[in-house]
Amino acid sequence: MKQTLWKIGIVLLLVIGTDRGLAWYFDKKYTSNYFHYANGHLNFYLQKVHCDTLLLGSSRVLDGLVPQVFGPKTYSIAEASKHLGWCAAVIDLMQQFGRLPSHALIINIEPEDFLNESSNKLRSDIHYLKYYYDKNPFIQSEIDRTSRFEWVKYLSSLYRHNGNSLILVTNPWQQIGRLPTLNGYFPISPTPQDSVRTLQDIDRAQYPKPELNSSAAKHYFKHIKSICKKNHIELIVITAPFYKPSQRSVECGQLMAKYLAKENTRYLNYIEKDIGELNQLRFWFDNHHFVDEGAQKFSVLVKNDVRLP
Amino acid sequence: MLFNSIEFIVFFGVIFTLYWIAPKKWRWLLLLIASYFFYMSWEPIYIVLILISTAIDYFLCLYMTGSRDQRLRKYGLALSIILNLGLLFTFKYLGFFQEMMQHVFHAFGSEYHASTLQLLLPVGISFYTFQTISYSIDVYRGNLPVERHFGKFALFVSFFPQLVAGPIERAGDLLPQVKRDDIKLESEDLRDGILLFIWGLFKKVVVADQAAMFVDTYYESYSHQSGGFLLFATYMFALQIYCDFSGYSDMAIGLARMLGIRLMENFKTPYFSTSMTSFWRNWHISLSTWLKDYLYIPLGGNKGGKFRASINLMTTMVLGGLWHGANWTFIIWGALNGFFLSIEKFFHRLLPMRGLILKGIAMFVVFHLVCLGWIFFRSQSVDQALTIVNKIVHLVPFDLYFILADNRFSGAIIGALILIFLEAQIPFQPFTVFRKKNIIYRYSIYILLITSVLILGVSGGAQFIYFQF
Repeated sequence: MKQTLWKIGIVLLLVIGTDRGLAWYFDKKYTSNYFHYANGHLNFYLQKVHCDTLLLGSSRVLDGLVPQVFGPKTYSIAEASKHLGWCAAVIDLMQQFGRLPSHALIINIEPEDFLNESSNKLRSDIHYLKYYYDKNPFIQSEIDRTSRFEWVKYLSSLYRHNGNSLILVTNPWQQIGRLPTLNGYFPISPTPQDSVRTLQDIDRAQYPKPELNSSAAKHYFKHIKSICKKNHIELIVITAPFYKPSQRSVECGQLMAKYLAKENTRYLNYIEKDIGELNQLRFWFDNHHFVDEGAQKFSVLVKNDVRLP
Repeated sequence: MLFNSIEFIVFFGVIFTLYWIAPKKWRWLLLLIASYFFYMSWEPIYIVLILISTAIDYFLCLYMTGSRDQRLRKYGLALSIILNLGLLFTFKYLGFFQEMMQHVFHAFGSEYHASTLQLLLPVGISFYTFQTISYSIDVYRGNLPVERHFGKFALFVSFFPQLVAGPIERAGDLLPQVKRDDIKLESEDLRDGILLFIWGLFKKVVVADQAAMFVDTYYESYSHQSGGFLLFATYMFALQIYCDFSGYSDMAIGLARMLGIRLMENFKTPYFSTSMTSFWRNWHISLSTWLKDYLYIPLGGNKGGKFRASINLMTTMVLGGLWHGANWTFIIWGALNGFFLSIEKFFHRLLPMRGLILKGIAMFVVFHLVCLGWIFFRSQSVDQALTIVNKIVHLVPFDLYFILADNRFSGAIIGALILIFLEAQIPFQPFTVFRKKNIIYRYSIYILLITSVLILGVSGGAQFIYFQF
């Protein structure tokens, strides 16, 4: 038995050594990564960008808003399938790194994020920023909320690269994500399948009346708002349009408008607003996303509505 | 509390320590409390079901043993089976049968109003129900002495490493072990237990969970996807379900081993099988042997000619499919496998599988027949499964680069390559063959596995597929 315990001890020591060694290697890879995946764009932004207006949100910002339409010093930090929790953590990081926009933050929020059932999704998004676990107190505290023993995982230095390691190695071969040349914008080129996809993608289901009662969403929104207030940044919330919005999106949008009015925050809800010719199928990649031409037109519309100086 | 969660590892660490320092005669009690605590971490109220199931079989078997009247013994057994299956039916199949009744009544122009009772499926009910039924049958047949200690019998029913997803243990194997109070912590058990747990964890979080993300994306949007992508997604599902379930079994066996208890092997590299019969001998062995011993053989087994045997086989496999879930997709999955097995029974002599090339071809064919079944198993509806089959049959050219560039795919493939490399060396008894390798090779493999879990593993603690059954 003694021998077995010795052997287990030796394996443990070897594992710790490998863990530290590989973590050092991936740390170096991470800090020099400017490709889109594995937070490369965020990394690039935190190291090299000073902007006056920041566009923040999910893929509906990434390929739906063109920063250059707003001005040369507008930048977009957006990531597919990321929600309010991720946005709050990113803003906190920017504050820590001294990279907050000097003037305005335009953030796209999906009203459904405020549904109670979305809370776990919002929190789990922050795990995509686990590299910053021991570097940013907000991210650490939010990750620690996931479970009582979450911190145990971070005893391994390598764990902060969990889920990203392969991407850090394979990034150079990815189709998208070279150095961000369009201030963080990713145009989608039109394809013949777009109209079929858009029509198939329409959500026609009937949902029960929503209640926007997610404490997580409110917590994250208030965090963003307080950082903006402290740093004198104008906060503008938008909700990008759909080709055909679902009944739930419409109802959630109306409720969020009321909530944001209470919070004294400017809100442009494009689910409700007239989007003019953008109603045409040719501007859409699917029910949620514009192709490049649609994004250009939508950006002009938003720019005119927000009327930044 | 999932095996692949930090909470469970802390829980097991505490139980392991207490178990080996506790007085030997009270260890069973500690394991019983731990097992109930483990089960209650899902839904506390459902502990009542385990207690009912335990009490039914404990008292009815005592009654059967005490009675000399064969007729009363038979009634005792029938009552045990009816009550156990009744529990299973109520919680698992009631909604499905009500829905079927509605369709039948509707077809005849009348209305059937089903109750709106919505029951949450208790985790592991199919597993422990089968375990207790086999105990009653074995006691009835006289193959097993009745257990008179209620606590130890309760531990046999609820032993936490295998409670929620098997292996479905036979009382003849597990009961004597949980009754022993002279178990010592052997270094071999500790070492193999830890290795099996790490091996299972690797299969689950590195291969199965990464493959799951890929499969979910394509299966959920199947109507938009081309046949090529769906074919790849089906291959990935074959990988996912094997690693998910066998990973769970390995972890369960490893955990039990660390407590000095040996559970049965549940998988023996089934995808290397060269016939469907061999696949089913090596896949979910504890269920396959259960179905053979308590259903197929009582139905007549191979007696009465090949045609009769085929009918028995079909019946067994359809019921085996239904055991997995209350959905037509599972019934069709079972029927398909029953059909393949029956066909094989008729033609196996015509297909001698000698030589490497022929064996390779047979392995390829068997794997694809199994994959055809997996399409039904994974689909939410028969309609979805048929659409996917149709799309795969009409395979259109697709962008392979798109799949290869998907990190979920490449992550799972890296895991799968490590898996195949290791399984080819350690086909039946994980890690025992390893002891003959030199120390550098062995330690490198251990470090590779642990590092892969840390760096590639999906850490969200995803549910095991078989928990839903």
